[in-house]
Amino acid sequence: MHESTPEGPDSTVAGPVNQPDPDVELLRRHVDGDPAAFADLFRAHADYLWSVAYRLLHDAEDAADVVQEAMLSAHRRAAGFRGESTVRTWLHRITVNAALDRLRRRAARPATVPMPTGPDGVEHEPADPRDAHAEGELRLDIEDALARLPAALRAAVVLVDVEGMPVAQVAQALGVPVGTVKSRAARGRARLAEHLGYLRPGNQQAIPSVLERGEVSGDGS
Amino acid sequence: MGPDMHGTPVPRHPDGELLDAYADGERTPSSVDRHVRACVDCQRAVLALRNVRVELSRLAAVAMPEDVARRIQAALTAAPPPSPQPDRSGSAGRRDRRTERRGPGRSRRPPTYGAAARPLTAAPARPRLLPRSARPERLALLAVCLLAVVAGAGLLVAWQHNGAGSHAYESASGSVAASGKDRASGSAGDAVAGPPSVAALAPSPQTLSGSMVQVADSRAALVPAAVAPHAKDLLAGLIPLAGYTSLDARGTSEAQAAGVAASWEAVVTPGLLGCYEKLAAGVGVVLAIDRVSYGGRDAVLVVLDIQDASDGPATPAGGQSAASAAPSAAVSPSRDRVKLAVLDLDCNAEHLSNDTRYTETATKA
Repeated sequence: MHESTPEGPDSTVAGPVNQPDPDVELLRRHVDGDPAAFADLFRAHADYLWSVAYRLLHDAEDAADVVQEAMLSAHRRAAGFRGESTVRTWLHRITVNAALDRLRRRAARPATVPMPTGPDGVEHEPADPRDAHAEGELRLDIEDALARLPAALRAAVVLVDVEGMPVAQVAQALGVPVGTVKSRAARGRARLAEHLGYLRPGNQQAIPSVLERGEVSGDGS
Repeated sequence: MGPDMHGTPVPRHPDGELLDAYADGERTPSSVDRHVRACVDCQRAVLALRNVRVELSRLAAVAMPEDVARRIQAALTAAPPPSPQPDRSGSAGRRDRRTERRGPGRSRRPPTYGAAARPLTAAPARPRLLPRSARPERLALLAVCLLAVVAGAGLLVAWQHNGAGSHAYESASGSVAASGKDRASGSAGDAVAGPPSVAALAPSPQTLSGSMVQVADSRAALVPAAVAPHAKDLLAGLIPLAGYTSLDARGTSEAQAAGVAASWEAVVTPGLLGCYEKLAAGVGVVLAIDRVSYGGRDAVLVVLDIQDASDGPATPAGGQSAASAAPSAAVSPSRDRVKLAVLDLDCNAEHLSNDTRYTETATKA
């Protein structure tokens, strides 16, 4: 189901240069009324789109809603695809925007007690995982570590490091300055480094303070 | 030690973001480099940050859960066709999100859709009425399944019915594979039509002779909504085949000469052969036939591959008692469609309309 080409959303070269993109052909058939074409397109990229939606939201129900919303949008607006990116990148962008939209709405209506937020709107974790580390908890798997990040930091890390999107594009998608994206990504990586056991805060008090300083020094924007 | 002195470490650790940029190889003030070279803690931090980036970049895709994939597939199937007007942005505009949230079930289809080929189950409210297996997304697999069947034709030709006479039809395998390839260029799909009008019945050379046809004897009791899913299963090889026949006179005699059971003969009677030929004329080739039960009576399900070359919509004709359950819009020929017909076992070409219990044309939705 998943393509074997590199994962970056901007990896536009998926084969020999003159090879017609099968995705473009599917999209064209869809616009021409072939009722099966879009289903094929969806299946071809389902895992790819699910991955980014799920990693951004860390909630299967929300991720499913978001991918469905994005696919229906793409399904409807297929005629507007102008070939400025690959179809895969186009679908990715629509999905990412839908997921970020969902994150914003989540933040806007906190279901439970609102989390205290940091200087740039990043909420603090309900419980500091570092405490668990200090108590000797085993290092986390990277997916678990990602899940523990506050949503804003996670979004930056996922889009920049996992999805390989250019920082400027991420800034546009998130609606924040480039510096904010860099700052959030840096802080997200620092926390991941701890969660993953690359840094042991219990033994090296200096390092977390080094890495967390950005937290109090503002957005860097 | 002042921070401006050359060759001495900057006493304060660099800002975390700066350290991260340094770890990424970005341009940073030379003071950062000087500090890191002299600071073991920061060297560890840089290494850790680099490891994190590497791990993140190597994260594999997560497989979409099956139920989510099915749900989205169903939503797409129920969605109205793409707007002919190019979207103003063509990318991730957010302005029309509101309409995106309308949900998959509510379509905004105009009341009539003329001659546009549509998946039969796309009619308003139909997805709720049909069993899940009748929905077009299942039918979308028809073509793929057909190809799979064709690829495996050499294996499937063996007599599979009841394990009896499993040796009986092996001789057909060579020609099956060959004709299967020819067939693969056309494909499956589905929607609605009646039998072809009597006026268009000059048998075309491609209709019957030369094509191998899957023959099954499932005796499945079918209702209108189950016809398309059953046909899909038939094409997908999920229903044990009794064998293959060429349906021309010679094929029939071969089948009989091979000592085929009575059930086989029941679907290749001269009367039925005439009906198949009449059905196929102007439509396409017969892909498969299956002895079934329909409305409590013995019947035969015929699956025809609608050929691209056919012109003019099939004309709805009488005898469609199941028309209320079947989509009733006439559709123009297009690629990747199959016509499904349920005929009385004692069908006679002279009275094909009367002997046709049910028909359906399906797009490969």
